[in-house]
Amino acid sequence: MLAKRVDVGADALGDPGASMWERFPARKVALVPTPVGMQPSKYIMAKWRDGEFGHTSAAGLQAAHNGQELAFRLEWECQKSVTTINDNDQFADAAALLFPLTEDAPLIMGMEGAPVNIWYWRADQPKMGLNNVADGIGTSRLTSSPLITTQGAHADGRWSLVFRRALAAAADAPTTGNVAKFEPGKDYRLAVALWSGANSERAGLKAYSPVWVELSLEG
Amino acid sequence: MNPLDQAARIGREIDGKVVKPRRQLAMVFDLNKCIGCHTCSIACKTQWTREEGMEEMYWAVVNTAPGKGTPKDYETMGGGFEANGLARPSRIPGREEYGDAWQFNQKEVLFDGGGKEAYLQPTNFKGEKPKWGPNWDEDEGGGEYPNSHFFYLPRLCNHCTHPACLEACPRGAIYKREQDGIVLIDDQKCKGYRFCMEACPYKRIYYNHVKLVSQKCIFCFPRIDQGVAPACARQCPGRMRFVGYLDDENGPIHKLVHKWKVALPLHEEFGTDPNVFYVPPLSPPSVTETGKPDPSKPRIPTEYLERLFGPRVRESLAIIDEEKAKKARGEESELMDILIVYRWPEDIFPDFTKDPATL
Ligand code: SF4
Ligand code: SF4
Repeated sequence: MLAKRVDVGADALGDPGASMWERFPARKVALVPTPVGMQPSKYIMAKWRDGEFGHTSAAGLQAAHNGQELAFRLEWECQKSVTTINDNDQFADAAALLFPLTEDAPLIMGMEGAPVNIWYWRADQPKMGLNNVADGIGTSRLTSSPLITTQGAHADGRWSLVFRRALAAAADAPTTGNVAKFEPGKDYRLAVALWSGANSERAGLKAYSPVWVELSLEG
Repeated sequence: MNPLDQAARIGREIDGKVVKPRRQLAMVFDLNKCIGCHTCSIACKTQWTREEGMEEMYWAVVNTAPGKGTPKDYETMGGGFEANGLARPSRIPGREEYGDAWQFNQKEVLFDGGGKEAYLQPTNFKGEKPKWGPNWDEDEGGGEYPNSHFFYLPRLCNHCTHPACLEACPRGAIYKREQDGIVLIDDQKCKGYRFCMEACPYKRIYYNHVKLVSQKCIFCFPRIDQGVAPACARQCPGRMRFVGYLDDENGPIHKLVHKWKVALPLHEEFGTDPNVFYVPPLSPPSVTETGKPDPSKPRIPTEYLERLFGPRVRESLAIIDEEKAKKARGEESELMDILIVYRWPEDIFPDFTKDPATL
C-alpha cells in the first residue's frame, strides 16, 4: 500500500471527512477475531469460549503524508457505536494501528526484545491518540510522547477515523527505540485492530489483521 | 506471556497448584458482636475513597442477612472457580446494582427558597429516582413474625489465596504481596478492562469512572506496613474485627480459624479460598405456632447459615455453645476469652496495635 504524498495542511490530513481521502482508493484489510486460545487469562477464555467477538471482518485503510505529518485513515462498519461510558458494564469502540519496531516483532503484540509500537484510539476519548509500546500480550505501556492526533466520525453505521503523527516524531521522542520511525521513500509494515464496544470488546477481545500490511511512503 | 517472576506467580494456579505468599494476613469477624453501625464502612470511606470518581465506592460494606447484599444479588452472579478449577463466567454489576452515589436537590430545597414545597429527593447517576442503594434492604432480614430474624454481615475484599480477580486480569495488574498476601491492583498497569470485576465472585471491586481504573480494598496496607490496624478494624465499636497472620499460632486468627474451628469463610464454594472468616451468629430459639420456644431450632435457620458458611456451621455453633456454657459455669474457656477481647487492642490485632494518631 502506498502512503501518497499530498500537498495539504495538517488539518485536512487529520480529517477523516476531508475530500483529499476520496482521491485514492482504500486498501481492504481482512480482519479475524483473536483466537480464544490466545486470550491471556483463563477467565477470558472461559467467558468467551464461544468466540462471539471480533466480528468486524474488514477495514478500509488509507495512508498519506505531506512531508511533515503522516496520516492513516481507517473505515469500518459499526452499526451500534459506543462513544461514552456511563455504567460499569459499558465499553467504548476502539481502534489501533500496530507497527513493528524490529524485523522479527510478532504481529500479535510483539515479544520481549522485539517490541511493537501501537497507536490507540478510543471513542470516549476521541481527540487523544495514545502511543503505546508492547513486548508481549498484556504488556502495552503508554508513553507520553510522541503526540498522536486522532479524529473519528460515526455516520450511517460506519466509523471513519484518522490517526496523525509528525513523520519525524521518532527523532525527538525521548525513547526513540519505542517509537516507529518513518521516512519518505521507505517501506514499512503495519497491522490493524478494532474493538466493538457494544459487544464489550476490550483487551484481547478484538478483530485484527492476521497478516502484515506492507506500506511504502511516497518520496 | 513473559515468564513470570516469583512475585507475579503468587496467587496464580501454576501446574495445578496455587502459589502461596510467605505469610497471609486474615480477618475474623465475630458476627455475634456486630451492631450494624457502619463505622467500619465510614472509616474506610473517610480514609480511602473520598476522591472524585470514588463517590459510590464502599470497599467495606455491612449487609443485612438474609438480604440481597452489595451489589444486589451478587451471590447469584457467578465468578470464582468451579470445583474442577475452571473459571466460572460472570458479569460486571452495574452502578445501580452497587447502589450508586445519589445526588440531592439541596440547592432547590435549602438555598433557592424551595423548602416549603420541595423536599430532598435523591437522583441516581442517570438522573432518575433510585430503585436500589448500597443498604436498600437494611434490617429487613427474613422469616415471619415471631420468627423474623436478621444479622449483620460485614463484607470486604477477602484477599483470597486464589484471587479470581488476579487470575482474570489480562495485564497482570493485580498482585498478591509476598510478605502478607494482601491483594492489590496496580493502577499504573490497570487499563480499566474490568475483567476483575467480572471474575470476583464477591463483587468487591468498583470501577472509577474518573480515573478509568478498577479499585478495591487495599487491606489498609500503608497502615499495616507501619504496625497500624486497618481503619475498619481499629474503628469498630463492636470490637468484632480480628486481624492477624493465619500462621501465628499464638494469635487470635489462627486460634479461631484453625484451633477452635469456629471461624468460617463466606461462600467457600466460590473457589477463591478467601481470607476473611466469620464466627457464625447464635440466635435465640425459634417460637412454635403455639408460642412456645423451640430450643431445637434457632431463630436464624441453620440451613440458611450453611448456605453462607458451609456445612461446618453446625459444628462451629455447637463449639461456641459449649464454650459459652463453660464460661457461664465459671470455668475457663480460651475461646470465650478470645471472643470477648478483654484487652484492646492487643487481643484483637496483636501485630497492629500502634495508634495511628502517634504516626
Ligand atoms: S474477594 Fe474478589 S477482589 Fe478480593 S481477592 Fe478475592 S477475588 Fe479478588
Ligand atoms: S464497625 Fe464493627 S460493629 Fe459497626 S458495622 Fe462495622 S463491623 Fe459491625
